[in-house]
Parts: sequence; structure tokens; C-alpha cells
Amino acid sequence: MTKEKPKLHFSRKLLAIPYALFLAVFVIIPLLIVLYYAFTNDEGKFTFEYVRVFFNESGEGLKGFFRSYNFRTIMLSFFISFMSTVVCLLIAYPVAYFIAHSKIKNKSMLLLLFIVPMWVNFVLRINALKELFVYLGTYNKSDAWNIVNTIIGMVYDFLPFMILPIYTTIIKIDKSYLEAAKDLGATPAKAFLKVTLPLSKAGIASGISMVFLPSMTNYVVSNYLTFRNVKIIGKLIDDYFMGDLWHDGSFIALMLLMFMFLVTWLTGGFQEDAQSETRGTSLW
Amino acid sequence: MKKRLSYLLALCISFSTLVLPACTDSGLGKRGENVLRVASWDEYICEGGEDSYVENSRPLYEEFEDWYFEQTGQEITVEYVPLQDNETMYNKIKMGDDYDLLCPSEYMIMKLAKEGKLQKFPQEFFDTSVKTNYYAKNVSSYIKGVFDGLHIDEQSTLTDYAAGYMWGTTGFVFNRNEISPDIMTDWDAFTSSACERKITAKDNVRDSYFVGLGLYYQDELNALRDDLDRGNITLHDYQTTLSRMMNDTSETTMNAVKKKLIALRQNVYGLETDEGKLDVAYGRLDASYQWSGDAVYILDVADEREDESLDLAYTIPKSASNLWFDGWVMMDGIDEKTKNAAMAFVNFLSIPENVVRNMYYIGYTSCIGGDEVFDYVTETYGAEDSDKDTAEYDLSYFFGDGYTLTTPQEQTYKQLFAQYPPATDIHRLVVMTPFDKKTNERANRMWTNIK
Repeated sequence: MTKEKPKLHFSRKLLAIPYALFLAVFVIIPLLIVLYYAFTNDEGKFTFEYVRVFFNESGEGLKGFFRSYNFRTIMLSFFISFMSTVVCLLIAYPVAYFIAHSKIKNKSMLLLLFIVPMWVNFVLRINALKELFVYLGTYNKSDAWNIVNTIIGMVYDFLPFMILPIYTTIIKIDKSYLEAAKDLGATPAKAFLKVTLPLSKAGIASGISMVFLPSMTNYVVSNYLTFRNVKIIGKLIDDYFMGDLWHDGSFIALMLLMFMFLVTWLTGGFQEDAQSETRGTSLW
Repeated sequence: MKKRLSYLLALCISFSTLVLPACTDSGLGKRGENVLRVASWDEYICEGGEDSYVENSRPLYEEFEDWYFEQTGQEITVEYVPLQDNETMYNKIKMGDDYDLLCPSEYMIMKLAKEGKLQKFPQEFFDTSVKTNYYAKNVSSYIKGVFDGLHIDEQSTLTDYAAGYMWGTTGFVFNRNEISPDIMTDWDAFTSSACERKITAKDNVRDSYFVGLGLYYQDELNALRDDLDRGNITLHDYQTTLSRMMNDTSETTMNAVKKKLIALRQNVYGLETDEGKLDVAYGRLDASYQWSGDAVYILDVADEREDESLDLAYTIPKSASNLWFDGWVMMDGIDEKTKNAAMAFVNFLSIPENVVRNMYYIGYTSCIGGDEVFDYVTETYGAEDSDKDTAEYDLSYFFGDGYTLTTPQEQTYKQLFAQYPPATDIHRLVVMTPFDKKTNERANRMWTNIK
């Protein structure tokens, strides 16, 4: 046998190393640290103290929790996120649909119109929006207006994140499917409901998780647009960390994380076939 | 499955190679190497340029590098790191960031000192016979007195650990055309119907808790003040009681404060930290609770706008008000060379000429006294010959006997008041000491749960 030269074999898998490192350093390890802080006290001993404080600070059990301000914050946050996502979806889907189906040759230019606002600094945009509300007289007018304004701010901020994934999935749907539907006698509405909509599910799911989750925590929007009269979960976590209550903050962050997992799971973010439905193409 | 395992393995390897070394050597910013790492606030040192007192000058921390070379023949590079607030600073230190010289506020200085994170200034720093000891030579005796009165432990006071930088009060900025000065006299302005949805409070636990205490103790504090005025109690006793009340964190008091703060929260227009500053200057908001330095800025902006509908004023609650200051402190564990550079930096900033430049640029009031600073105050707030309505403003408590300023009448409730509170109000200023760990926990949870 001849001696084989040791060869440096470059496999494509090696390309995944930078991302794996990134994932480990910026995602996995921070998560472990959050987990650690949520269930240990200052002496580093394991404890459920912060679970108790969060749910039962008043000492009246869950009844007290449901009456607490924190519970209100969570519910309000949930409501704002939900509404922002719905509004985003209602605006984004038609936009994405018409861009994808427009006759204009340069579709990416059209798409750009919706992306360009993202290039302007976001705090600046929110401040501009605040000025607009001041001008309209709705700024900090009442609690209801504050919530409405926050939702408008969130939608303004996150709309492109809803448009892009939906657009990407719609544009990749094979036109022959629609033609086939037409040939078989489906009305355009029926073809949309039976073909386009199910096939763009992955885009919708992705869009939802990209709007719903950040709008639970993006407290810059609520701070600037409501003079801090609307408080969302992100602000609650920030308050705890700024108040040197890392354990409390970590526990709530962990709760939020679990909740996000739940939402992702419910929207089918973990289903692998959701991706293959768009014929194996990735969203971005 | 096998794939998953190899993935996990890859993670473990990357973890050990990347993170473990980072744990032993905190990575961010190395000490030594002729670098002085200064952590302070944004826009809290003269950055030079067109708008500075000496036109087109360089930032003071850059000028310091040359000055230090001239003085000692050693090269030093200053890394000036602006941070957001005291809590961020504390968290950064906790996470292992290395700084040499910090500029925290009074309560954070006390907290850090008690935790053993700071080192004392050596005796030679206070030797007034040394020419370059500008801080020791120029610091106002009023500030020195305040520092001497704040104990870290039985042996040491704040003087040992900190060199004062800027100081001031916390009070109301309000539009006299909209809200009568008679209402904005004391803490109950926050809950008065005249201020309903017209006033803002601060979104941080310490300022709010202090306000809550003020609301809770207001009547008692005023009764105490009357006692002092009638000569029933000594000034020392008055101040001891005042300080005890305004630092009361007992459980019963905190519960009462909570109730007061809930009432406040329902009455105010909103909470802010920085972003509400200009709303008063632009007439959108009639009153807000501000740090004196920011008040000066707000009043300056309003003056520039020349808006007839605005007549802004600054005042502090009459039952008791907050005295705050920021000071330079040296981190524990820095080497002798860096320590000398740190002390030189503090002295450099205490050279009267630089004090004036800083005050002009930042708008806050320096802890440094002396003739040059008084001249600057006179130049800025002194009455001109054309002013008919003038007042005598007593600044002897800060600059020394005989230092009285003739100023336009309106300055007694505007910028000058914000920069130097009237001599008659000095004795009811209280420094808020840091919360201990448990109290901090209680106070933060209380505040987070009601706002």
C-alpha cells in the first residue's frame, strides 16, 4: 500500500462554525446565565424565591397576582403585541401580495419603498411620530390614546418585518399552481384561499413571530410615545435590572422566553414541513 | 442523532475556547499602559469646539494629556467613557469593566465605598501648600463641610474617597404664566389638583422615593422648621432629624410612601428621565421635576426662544429638598502610576479656568469656589447698569464672607437659583444616603409595581 498523504479536507460543514460560535456566545450562554440568575439568590444558592415574589408578592396567592400591577403590565403588553401583529398582518399581506403579483418589472424597487424607512434611525422615527401625535393632539391625551399610539408606533416600526417574509413566500409560489386552479374552475378568490394563502403560511408565521415577540419588549416606542404611561414587559425587565434586581429581572425574562417559545410553536415555527411547502426555499 | 451530538460537541469546544479565557481576563479595556480610563456622563466635561467658553478649544480630557506631560514628563492617554446613569455604571463594574476614575453620584459613591470598590485619596492630595493641588486649594468650604458630614464608616467620611465635581438641588421647573408660584412651593404640588396632568415626575426609584417621603412628612417637616425658626431646636438637631426623616426606609414608612406615590402617579402627566426636558422649554408642559443643572439648560433654551407665553422659574420644595453631587473616585486596585494620573486629572479639572469652561459647557454648578468662578457667575448673572429691578443675592455660604451678587430680580427665581440655591434655603437640603441591599430590593419592587 502506498502512503496516503494527509489531506486537509474542507467540508461544507465547516462553514457553519462561525454561526455555531455566534449562537453559543450570544444566544446559548446568555440564556444559561439568565436561567442561573432566575433560580439563584445572591449567595449563588438555588431558590424559588423569585418565582414566589413574582406570583405571590402580596401574600394573597394568585388572586393577589391577578390584581397586581405586574399582571396588568403583562396583559397590556400582550394586548399591544397582539393588536400590532394583527394590524401589521392586515397591512402587510395585501402589500406583499400586490407587489409580488404586480406587472412592474422591477419589483424590488417597489419593495424598497417599504424597506427604506428602516434605514432611518428608529429612535429618530419614533420621535418624529411623537411630534405628529402632538400636532394631532392625541399625544398622551388619555390612556386609550396612549395604547392606540403605542400600537401605531409598533406597526410603524415592525411593518417591514411582516412584509418581507410574506413577500418572499408569495413570490416563490409556482405560478402553474394558480393556473391549474383556474383551469379546474376555481374563482380567483377560491384560488387565493385554497392555493396562495396556505402556501404563504410559512411567511405569515415568520412575520408574526418577528412582530409579535419584539413588540412585547420594544419599550422605546411606549416610552417615547406615551410619556411612560404605557408600560410593557420589556420596560418591566429593564426596571428590575436598573434597580439592581437581576434575579427578578431574569425570572421575568425567562417567563417571556417560555411564552415566546409557545407562540413560535403555535404559529408552527418549529415545523420543518412549513418550510418545504414553499418548495424548499428559505425565507430570507 | 449523531449529527446532534457532534453539534453539541462543537458547542462545548467553542464554549471552552472562547469563554473560559474571557472569564479569567475580563477582556474589556486593560489597565495600565499609560491609559487613564475615565467613566463619567455624556456631555459632562467641556468637549471644546465652537460653543465652548474658549472658542474652538479641544476637549478638556485631551488638553489634560498635554498638561500632564508638561507637569510630569510622562505620557498618558485618557479614555473618556460616557455612561448613561449610575445604575449602568454599577452594572458595568459588576460585570468586570475596568475603569480607573469614575464620576458617580453621592449615593453611588457611598455604595461603592462601602463595598470596598474604591480607594481613598492619599494625604498629599489634600496638601494645600503644593501648587498643583488645585482641588484642595479651590474646593468650596460648603462642599467640604457636606463631604465631611457624610460618614462611610466610623473612621472615614466622603472626603477621603471623593473629590466633588458638580452639585445641585432637585426642584420644580414651571411656567409662572400657567401655574402660580404659590402652588409650586412644596411637595404637595405633585398631588394638587392645580397640577393635575400638568407636571411630570422622574422615572427612577430614588428620586421618586424622596418625593414620596416629602409628601408623607411634609407637615411634620414644616413644623420642625417652625421650631427652628422660633429657636426651639438647634440647627444641628434640625438637620439630624431632617436627614433621618428623608432617609426613612422603615417598612411602615415605605407603605405610606407607596400610597402617596400611587396618588402622585395618578395626578402627574407622565414620568421621564431625560426626554421630557425640552417639553417645558417649548411650552408643552407646565411643570416638571428636574435636577438643577437640567433646569438651567431648560431655562436657557426657553430664553433663547423668546416665547412671550413662557415665564419659567425654578424652585425647591420648602419643607426639605434634595442635595446631590457627583464626585471623582478612584477604583480600588489601580497602580501607583495610574493613581497619580487620576489625581492629576481631578486637579486639572479644578483649575479655575477649566472649572469655568466646564460650567459654561455643561450648565451644572461646580464644587469649586474661588474668585475666578465668582467672577464668572457675576459675568453671567450680575446686574447691568440698565437693570432697574435688582436684588442682592447672598453667596457667602459657597464663596466665603462678603461674596454677594447684585443680580436682576428675576434671576432670584431663574438660572441663578438653580445654580446656587439661596443662602436661606441651604440648611434644609438633605443628602439621600444609599439604600442597603434589602431596602433597595423593597423600594425597587414597590416602585416598579406602582408606576
